Amino acid sequence: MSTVATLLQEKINNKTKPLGSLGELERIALQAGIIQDSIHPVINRPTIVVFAGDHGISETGLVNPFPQSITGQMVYNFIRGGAAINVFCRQNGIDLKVVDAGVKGDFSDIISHPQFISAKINHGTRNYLEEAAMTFEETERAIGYGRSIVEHLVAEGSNCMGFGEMGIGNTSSASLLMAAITHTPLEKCVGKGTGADEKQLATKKATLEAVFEKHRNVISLQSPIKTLQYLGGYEIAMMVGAYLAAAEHKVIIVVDGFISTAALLVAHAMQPSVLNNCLFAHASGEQGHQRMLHYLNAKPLLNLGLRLGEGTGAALAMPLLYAAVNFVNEMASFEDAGVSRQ
Amino acid sequence: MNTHSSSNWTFITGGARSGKSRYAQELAEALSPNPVYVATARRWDEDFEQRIRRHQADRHNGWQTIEIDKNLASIEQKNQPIIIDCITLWLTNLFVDNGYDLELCLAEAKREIDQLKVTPGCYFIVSNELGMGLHAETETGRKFTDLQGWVNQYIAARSENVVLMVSGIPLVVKSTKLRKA
Repeated sequence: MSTVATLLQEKINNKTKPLGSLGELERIALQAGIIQDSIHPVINRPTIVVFAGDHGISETGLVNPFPQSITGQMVYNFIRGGAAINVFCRQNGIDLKVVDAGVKGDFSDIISHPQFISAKINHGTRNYLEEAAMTFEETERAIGYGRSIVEHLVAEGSNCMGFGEMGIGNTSSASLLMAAITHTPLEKCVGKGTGADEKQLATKKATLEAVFEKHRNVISLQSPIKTLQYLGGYEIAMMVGAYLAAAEHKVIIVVDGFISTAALLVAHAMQPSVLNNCLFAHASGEQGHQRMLHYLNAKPLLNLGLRLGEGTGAALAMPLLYAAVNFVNEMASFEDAGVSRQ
Repeated sequence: MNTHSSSNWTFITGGARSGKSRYAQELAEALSPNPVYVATARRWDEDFEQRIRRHQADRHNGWQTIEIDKNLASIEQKNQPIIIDCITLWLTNLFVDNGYDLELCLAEAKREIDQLKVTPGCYFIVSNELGMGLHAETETGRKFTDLQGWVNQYIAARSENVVLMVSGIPLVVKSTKLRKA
């Protein structure tokens, strides 16, 4: 254990409570302190960044019953403050940013909105049944933009972030990435997404099997960035960059659900140490997420059957992070309180 | 749907070396990892080339730089915040091309500004307060200072936000909705 870890563990043990009695909160507090290299961990300007992007596969209707246009409509909903993530961010005092990573359509009427970040790579990805979802250059640029966005938030004083997403069809990308990176059979990675029934789910599985087969040669190279290029999406690639930059800048990362964790799988394959900065908000209701968590040896904080995305799980878990740093900074020690140990 | 007017201008003016460009860049980078930088400078000579290169080095690689010497409304990247740097050099181009005629130049400048205002987009427009500096030595110089003053007023009246830079510190003069840098 590092010096900070030792000192912080001592500090936690000296609080007026039975040893270890704050359970997971103690683990969170310790991790926060280690990330910040301080025995006085603090949370500043917690921020959720929602990355939005469209997927070429959605236009086929094979993987999702919903029209692609919902992605752009939801971006406006986020900016108006009417989505689930807006409600939870307001409730918990979390800043929210919405990124156009590659949504189909123009947002010229909201680019000056302070919560909107314009980072469009393209109007939706290509259909990966036919070709790579993105070009290599686009993939690298998306990762770079994700990095820049996080670096800017760090410069503005944020040291705690969660990354959410919006993109009709992006659970398909997440399933494919998971299968490629964790070597899990694809059928175990595919779930309902936005709400497919049994028949739609069968079509979705068959379609994704075909995609996986088509790009088998690329997948077998086991290059995380190539895998991302062929099977990912702009919002997922941007999240990869966001994770990498956040870890480099000592940010406490609160990981959301299935798609956010798929992006983390890619980031982790590129840079395993990103995990040191990650707290896992929840176990999603989307099949495959538990397996991802298991693969990353991660212990989720909540289990609420959420499968919405947008960063909602991360926003709901952030108050636990506050509780963890607050008890470390505000609770009396046995010496302070004149309380005798056993 | 419209949460905002489709055109949003932030006019940033001040003296030489007051930090105008840097502040404009900070505002734009908060809105996008890849803003558009419109350079209005014509490359007059080698010394000027050097200055342009130094300004380019100040901006990280996410920026796209385009050079437009006169027709500002011709900018095509409407999906990104745009910095126009700067109105003084742009006016110089108009002034020279109009044979130093104040009236002609002012009329053309207003036409261009009107055209830009009806194009949707998020603009950070950088200018100079020449009138606060030394009194120009030549008749032409004094005319240009007047032109700059009139045009600044014209743009500021049409801007949602106006900021005066004082020794590197932004002083908000007019604000409908200005994000903090």
